[in-house]
Amino acid sequence: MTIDFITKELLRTLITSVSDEMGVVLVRTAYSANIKERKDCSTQIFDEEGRIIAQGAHIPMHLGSMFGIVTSIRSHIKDIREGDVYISNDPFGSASSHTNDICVIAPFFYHRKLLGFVANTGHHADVGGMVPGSTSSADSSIYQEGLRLPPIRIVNAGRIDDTILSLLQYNTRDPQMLIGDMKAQIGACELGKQRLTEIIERNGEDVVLAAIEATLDDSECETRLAIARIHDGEYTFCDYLDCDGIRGVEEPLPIKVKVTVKDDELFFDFTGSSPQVNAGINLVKSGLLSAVWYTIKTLTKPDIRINDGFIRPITVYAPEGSIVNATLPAPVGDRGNTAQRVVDVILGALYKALPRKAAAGASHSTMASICLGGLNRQMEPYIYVETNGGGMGGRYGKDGIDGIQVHLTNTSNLPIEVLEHEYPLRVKRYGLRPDTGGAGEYRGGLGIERCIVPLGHNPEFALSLDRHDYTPWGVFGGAPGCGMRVTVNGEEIGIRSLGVLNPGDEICLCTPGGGGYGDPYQRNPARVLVDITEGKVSQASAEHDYGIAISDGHINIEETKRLRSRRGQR
Amino acid sequence: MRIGVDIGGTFTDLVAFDPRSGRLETLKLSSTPQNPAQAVLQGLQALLDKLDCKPTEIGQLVHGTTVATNALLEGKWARTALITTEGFRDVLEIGRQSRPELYNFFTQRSEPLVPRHLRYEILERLDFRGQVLRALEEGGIQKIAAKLSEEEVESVAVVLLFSYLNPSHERRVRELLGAQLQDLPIVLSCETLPEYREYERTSTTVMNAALLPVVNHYLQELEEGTQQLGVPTKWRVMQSNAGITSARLARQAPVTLLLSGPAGGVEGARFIGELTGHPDLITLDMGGTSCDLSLIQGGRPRLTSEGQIAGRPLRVPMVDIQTIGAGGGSIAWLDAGGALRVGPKSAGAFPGPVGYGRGGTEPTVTDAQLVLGRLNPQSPLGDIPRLDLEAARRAIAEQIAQPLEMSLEEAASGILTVSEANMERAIRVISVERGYDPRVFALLAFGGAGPLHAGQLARRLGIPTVIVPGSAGVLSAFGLLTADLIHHFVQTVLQSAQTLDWEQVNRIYQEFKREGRRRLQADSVRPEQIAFVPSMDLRYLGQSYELSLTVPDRSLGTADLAELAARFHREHERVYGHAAREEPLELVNLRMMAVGTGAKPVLPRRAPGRKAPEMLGKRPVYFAGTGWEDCPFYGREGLAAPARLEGPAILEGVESTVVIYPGQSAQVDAYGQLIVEVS
Repeated sequence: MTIDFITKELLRTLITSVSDEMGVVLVRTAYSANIKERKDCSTQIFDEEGRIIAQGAHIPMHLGSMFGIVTSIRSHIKDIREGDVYISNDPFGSASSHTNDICVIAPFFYHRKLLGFVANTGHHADVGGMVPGSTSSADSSIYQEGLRLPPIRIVNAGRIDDTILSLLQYNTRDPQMLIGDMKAQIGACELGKQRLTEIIERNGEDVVLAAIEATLDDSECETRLAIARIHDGEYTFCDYLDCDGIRGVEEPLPIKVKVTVKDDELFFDFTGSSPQVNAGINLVKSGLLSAVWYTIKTLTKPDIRINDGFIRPITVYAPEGSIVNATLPAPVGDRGNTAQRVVDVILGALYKALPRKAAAGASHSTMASICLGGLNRQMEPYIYVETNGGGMGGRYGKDGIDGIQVHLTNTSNLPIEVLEHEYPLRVKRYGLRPDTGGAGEYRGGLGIERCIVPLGHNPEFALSLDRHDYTPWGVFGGAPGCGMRVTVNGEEIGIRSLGVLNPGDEICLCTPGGGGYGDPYQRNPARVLVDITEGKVSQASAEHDYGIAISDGHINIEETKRLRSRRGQR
Repeated sequence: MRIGVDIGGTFTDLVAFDPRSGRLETLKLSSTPQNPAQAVLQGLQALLDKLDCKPTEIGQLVHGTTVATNALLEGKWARTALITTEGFRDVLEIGRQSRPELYNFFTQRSEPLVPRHLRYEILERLDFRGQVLRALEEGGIQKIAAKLSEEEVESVAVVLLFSYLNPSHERRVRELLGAQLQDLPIVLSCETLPEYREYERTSTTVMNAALLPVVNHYLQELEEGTQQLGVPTKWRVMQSNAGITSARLARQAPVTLLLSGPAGGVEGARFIGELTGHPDLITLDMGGTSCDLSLIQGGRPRLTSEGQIAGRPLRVPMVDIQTIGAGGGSIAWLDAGGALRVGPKSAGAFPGPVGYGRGGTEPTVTDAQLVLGRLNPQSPLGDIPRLDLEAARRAIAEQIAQPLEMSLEEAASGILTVSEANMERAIRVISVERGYDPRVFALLAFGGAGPLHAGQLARRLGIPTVIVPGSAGVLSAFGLLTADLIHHFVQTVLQSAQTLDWEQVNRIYQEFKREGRRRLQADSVRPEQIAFVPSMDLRYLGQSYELSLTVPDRSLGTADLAELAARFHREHERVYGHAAREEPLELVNLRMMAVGTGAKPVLPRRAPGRKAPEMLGKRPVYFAGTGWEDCPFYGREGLAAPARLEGPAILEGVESTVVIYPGQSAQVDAYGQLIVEVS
């Protein structure tokens, strides 16, 4: 059946809005701050073969995280029936990228015929396991990361299975939140089915199916056109994760990619990346796909919606058992920093091919998380977890943004006035770290410093950080940004440390600055002066890194000429 | 005589209402963006001449202004400094550390209103209960005062951690600074927004400080100019909360004026809704480039305290307006995959749609309306004498229909379908996604293009009634005359409801009322015209988002808790779909709305028309599904109650054209409003 362009556009808008509305109802009816405030959730619509039709990703980390779930459902559940809902969180079963993300998926029938599936995923604060919050870089296998659910039926022909709910309740440190969020996820699936039914009734099944087919083809075409604009060639890059704090590893861990651009297709080959390690920082394939798709979408067509058409021209290979395609029983809970680094590595490979689009110094590219836990003022256990931003890399024509979240995450900070009200903690300082952005014609963004003091108790702490040894690199002559640094009372500690603080100890998390773009000696002196005035770059750094001499608050032109020419002779 | 003046991007609208005769007079003139007061004063003089009215006969002057908004959008704010607690001067810049766009490597955060070197830290610290951990180090402030005058700042904001619980340090800073810098405006966060969450409070307070000199200057100029015209009346100004206030207070609180313009339209819509017996409305204001949507429930505009202007959060109550890039000038185009898209790019007013004949070459929504016969090519549109139908047909044929291999009508109709799908989506956002069912609302359409689409949108959304006001073109200015004086107050308390200090609650409410009364009476509102609507922001203990519930305007105590809790659970259930009846509640903020009710315009009922509506003629009009139909058209102005029309029909007015779709019928009421029955 052929379909006119207007009906196609209309249905594209409608079907996309179904995935969006599922997201809105999920955020609105969820219990936990994770889903409600941080919007750590996403929605998808699949056809009956499991192709992605539409998705509403609030967090890029979820873009590929349910890819393959339909195949997995079909192999585990033989009798898919109308009114069923299934759940799974198995990172090795294409349901998630770590056990906290529970995927809820419902078959969608029209006139008793299976047409597809509606699904969503949400980050649950705790699914059991070794540590509160279920994920830690100290995990040594998936079995320490809490409940691992294969595809199972949670709603049977319209009725919630209480046995499954009890099972979930018994295996989390926060049963009320988990069950509340789970019900919200089921509700979102119901809404999705209802809206799809309305759309089919209004427009006819044949027309809707034809429109979907055409939409996927359009996306493919758009993506291919965008890829075709990149020069053909092989582009490789390698960067390293720090090995500090990882059992049995004494060398930095490479993440290596070879990107092949051929006509209108892209091939990613991660051969040469480190084998999986005995720590929760491994990434499963679906998490790798999220990172790859995010990067390509942002580089080529930011407004394109990711669906099956988008991914057709993209092939991703990573050796099984590697740190970017981990296999059972690797621990994978704390995969954030690794996934972020995959983005950097791809950008590192492509920046020469796309000097205006990909060209940026590396960003802090961490999910720099700090966790403190102890007893609060009411002598009840508390857990404070926060993911911190840092410096964005300098970009073609623009400085990197100071103190910001990049790439696969975009969570908000906890206001100090909320933090001190809810936890027995005091924030001493929250600000930008001067001189941490890599020097460049366009400067890397500054990292953040956040210093916290526990009051009257001894909390345990756990850090999950990176980029201490391997700092964010610059491009086209830009300097690297300053690395990650954590101190307790001024003494530096390891970036994956676990430990206990004394009351009054000050723990300071200092996140990396972004890498610079271009030769710092080409930087407009006026911009350096603004940075000095604003206290973002010191006078010493201006002289040393940018060749700019300042006297009495003004640029000393003669001396600047001398400094800058001297560098030319080096 | 009462006069409302609304400044828009293109036009400045004036509406005069004489309460004795019920006469309503309007005037439209081009805005003077360089000096907006100029058009206001010109218009005022012209209106006085037109009405043959003495300057001293003006009893009320109300202004809807975009001066604060434009200053922000155009980067023309004052040179402002910030004084904050040691260790936290970057809070304003880091914000919540999230980036504005997920998939854009080149995204930019909006520039902080105060650059880093003008953000000063002082030694002092309060704890989360408001107790002093470290006394204010006064010596440091003297030094800062010297720097402020050296840096020639025009205003200063003071935002200290936890000042919403204990304002003493902020106030002392003001005393010390004021002693050295007599004329410098000093804005305190404990007065602008005594609410927790330091970034949002800082952003709001700094915005107030940065706009204060700008708005102050403008309103002063306006007042002086008005006096020179011999008008002794003091101006009032529309606020973002759809209530008005005196210019004197507005000068101190520019942060409450950022939606002053659109709020007038929402208030005008509310008044028309009340007049026609529709307290629940969705308003659709569609012009050339964009479409503004808002929701009025139970006769009150829905407000939000979580607004953003130009990427900067703003925590003052403002009408909850959803704006999308869908207007008459929105351009239809084909994407790389060959799908038809409409907007957000717009041809604007200039060159405008192809049919305007002013050099526009890309087909727009207005061109599609013209091609389908909904717009009359012979009717003048503002200063365009006639529309160029042939050019519009050619543009759609060549750029849309031929590449898509479809007929001209299908292409034009498709442009409308795609554009309306975007609008439908936006209406769902302000209704369904906020927990409201659009089917129990009426759709009130205004702006040049709103009434062309409303009937079709209502049908798609299951909305039973469409209202097109009689004076749709100057609704915003009209709303200035119908608004109450409104002031909002807020104070964060953050206490468990079980152990709430009710004495403190009552004391705060009393303070709100004292201040509300003081402000309203200073605006010559009589005590019996003053009403208070107290409310509480509550949540389940441990949650991080709140729901606002109104509470009785009397002394409250533990005995009220049970009922309050029951209402909270119900509201939680309504908005979020579930309630946790065993969970303890937490009181986050106390709020109060102080309302001074003014005399409302009583619109004259028009004499019933004797004859059936007179048809101006018939022309072929295209409707999707039924195709071309010979469709009667009427002049909007000539219609009087109880005229009734069956669709399809077209009503042509000076300001807008209304389409009555097939199967719909329309009735003119006694005030000249058009009520369309959709089903």
